[in-house]
Amino acid sequence: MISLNWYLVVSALLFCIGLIGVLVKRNVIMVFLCLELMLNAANLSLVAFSDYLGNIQGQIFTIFNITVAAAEAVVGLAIIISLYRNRAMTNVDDFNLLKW
Amino acid sequence: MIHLFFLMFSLIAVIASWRVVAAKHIIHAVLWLVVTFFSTACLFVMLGAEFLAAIQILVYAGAIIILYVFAIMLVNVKDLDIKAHFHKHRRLAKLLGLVIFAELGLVFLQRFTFLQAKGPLAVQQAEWGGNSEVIGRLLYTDYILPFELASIILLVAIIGAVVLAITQEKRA
Amino acid sequence: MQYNFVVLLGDIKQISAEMVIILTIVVIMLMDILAPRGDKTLLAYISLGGTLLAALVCCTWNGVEQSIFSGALVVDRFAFFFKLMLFTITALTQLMSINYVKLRNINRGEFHALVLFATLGMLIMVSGADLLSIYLGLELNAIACCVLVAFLRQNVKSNEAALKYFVLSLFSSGILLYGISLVYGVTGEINIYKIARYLSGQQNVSHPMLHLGLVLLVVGFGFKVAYVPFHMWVPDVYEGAPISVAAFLSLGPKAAGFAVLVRIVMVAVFTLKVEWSILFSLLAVVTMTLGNLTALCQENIRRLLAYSGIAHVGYMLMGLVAAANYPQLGITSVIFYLLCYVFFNIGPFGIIILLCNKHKICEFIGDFDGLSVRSPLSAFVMTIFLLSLAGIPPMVGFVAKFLIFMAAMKAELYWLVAIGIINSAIAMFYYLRIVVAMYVRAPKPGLKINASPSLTIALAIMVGFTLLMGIYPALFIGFARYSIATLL
Repeated sequence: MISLNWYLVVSALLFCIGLIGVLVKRNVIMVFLCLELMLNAANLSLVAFSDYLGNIQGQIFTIFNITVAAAEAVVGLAIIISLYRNRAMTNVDDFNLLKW
Repeated sequence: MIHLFFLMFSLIAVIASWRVVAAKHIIHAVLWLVVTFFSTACLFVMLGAEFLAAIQILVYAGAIIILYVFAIMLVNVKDLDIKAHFHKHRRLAKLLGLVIFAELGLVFLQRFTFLQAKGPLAVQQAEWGGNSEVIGRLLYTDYILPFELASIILLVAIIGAVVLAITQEKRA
Repeated sequence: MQYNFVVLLGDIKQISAEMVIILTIVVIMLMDILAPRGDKTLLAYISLGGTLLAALVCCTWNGVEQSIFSGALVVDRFAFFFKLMLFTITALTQLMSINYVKLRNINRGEFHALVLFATLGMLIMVSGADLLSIYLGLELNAIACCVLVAFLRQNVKSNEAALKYFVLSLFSSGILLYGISLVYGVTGEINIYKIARYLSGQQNVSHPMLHLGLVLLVVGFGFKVAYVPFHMWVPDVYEGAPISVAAFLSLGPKAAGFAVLVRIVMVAVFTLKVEWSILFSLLAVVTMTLGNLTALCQENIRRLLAYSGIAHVGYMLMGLVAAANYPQLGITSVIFYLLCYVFFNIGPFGIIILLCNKHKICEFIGDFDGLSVRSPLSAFVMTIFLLSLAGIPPMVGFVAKFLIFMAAMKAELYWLVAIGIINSAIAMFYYLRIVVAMYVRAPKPGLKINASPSLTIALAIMVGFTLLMGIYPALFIGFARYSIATLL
């Protein structure tokens, strides 16, 4: 039997890799992919806890996460396409109309 | 044996997710993401969540990734070559990621003495016939409101995507 | 509990206000298809009517508090208070939008439907009793708002603002989810009340994993409520979004986020009050100071309002810190502040809409030069809003700020109060700068008032309430106190 700790460590690794990616990447679609990694890590830890606690709530939560992730991907990509029509580029660095 | 599988799938997941971040071309990143999702699905199976594993592959690896591939095809791939576009502060970002990981790792490697013992899930699953049956029953009873909310979220996503991505109507 | 059809019907009856909103959305979408070429103004009125009807239905609540849908939602006074507030925000936004959407050529059925979708998400958030329904409400709101921000499709600024909002909201929901998973792991529950019960039964609750989960939750909601350092999206979104949407965003998600935050920290993890009060006091100081200092050097009124809004969040966080020791006083001051904030913060956006026409948006302070000559009334109204925002004595803003500072004094947070007072003084400067521009400088050519009946009504309501609450705040403070009586 694998102990809960190791699942959590794997999920923490995935989460941090996603986090680094979000901070490092400059391409919007790449940022989205890294965000998916973060969500995936959260799902993994939810399922691991669900198994350990013997409690189905974590799995149910994960189903909704996946649904929401799908909805978000749809809207995010629609925004990118809309932006792309107006200005042909997708790099975060190129967005300089609005300053930080 | 189970340790071997765990080691294998988690290693694949971690390496593939690192490849997503490090990929030179966006399509490679997307394909590595599929590998990550697939091995996470395998971990789900090991955790006794068979239904979720199936959903993970069908929805994530199947639908969402295909959506990304389509979006990449619709915008100009040349613009998306990101070799030269790493952030200036990448060292700082990596450091931050490592710090957070160290913190999480320290917390996660502690003993979980405070947690309850195994709950009724195994019993429930045995009684109702399996993982999918339990989830199905709960989704339509106790979790009916979140279930309906999820459908509304999908509706908003459809409306939003149509509003944003539809080609401009011709002006008379 | 056996969940059957009768129970389900009873539960649905409890959310009839939400059902009215959903039905209105359906009607709007159908009418949009059935009358494809016609004028969509009718749809705007339908959506406004739907909101008012829902508010009425909400008012028929019989005062019985219960949890419904197996604990997914809870019907209580606290949720009732916030629901009325959200209906007000939505109705004001819709009133301000009716003419504006025609002006900007975005008068489409989807716009009105999406405003209602966003409202629906917030309604779920404020009455959500488990983290799952709160999360879903939050996402519903975020997705709808995101599309609304991007609604000026030909405008690159609007697109970029939407993209920034979207990336940051997805990032925050990733962090939030991780936090939720940790809290779930420690307590084995996702229901707020069950988490509270579990933690209060534990001898030693301070496990590092719970702390980590709490921090991640606070970060995740930080993006919604917009405190520093999770505020980066605010100025850009206010600047890029359609103005009425910016007005909506400046309050709706903030109010709903605060409701959720209050419910989580006061109910679920109240046992960890030492930890979260330290966290929030630090956030309050940074948020106030940074918000005000950045607002000082803004020329664009929309960006100025964004930073001033961030500063106001800092004051509200102060009330939350005070609530750790004096729950009643602290939370009353926070939600009273939010209630007043509805009227005097949407107001300036209304004035900006009043001054914009097809070709030009007056959004710089310079554009307001000599407004008092062109239109004494609108300059006067703007002055009332700005004085309220600054918190000058006869105005309601003063009462609200005073309550917060009083709560903090009682909790012996003298240093926090001192920083708050210094910040209010700084804030005075940039609000008065606009007043000076309107009254002292010479008018510029081309400044035109573009009044419409609906916008006038909205402004009248906001001014009326700002003055009424300033003159007779006791009524509203009483309502705020009533609404939290059963929460704590």
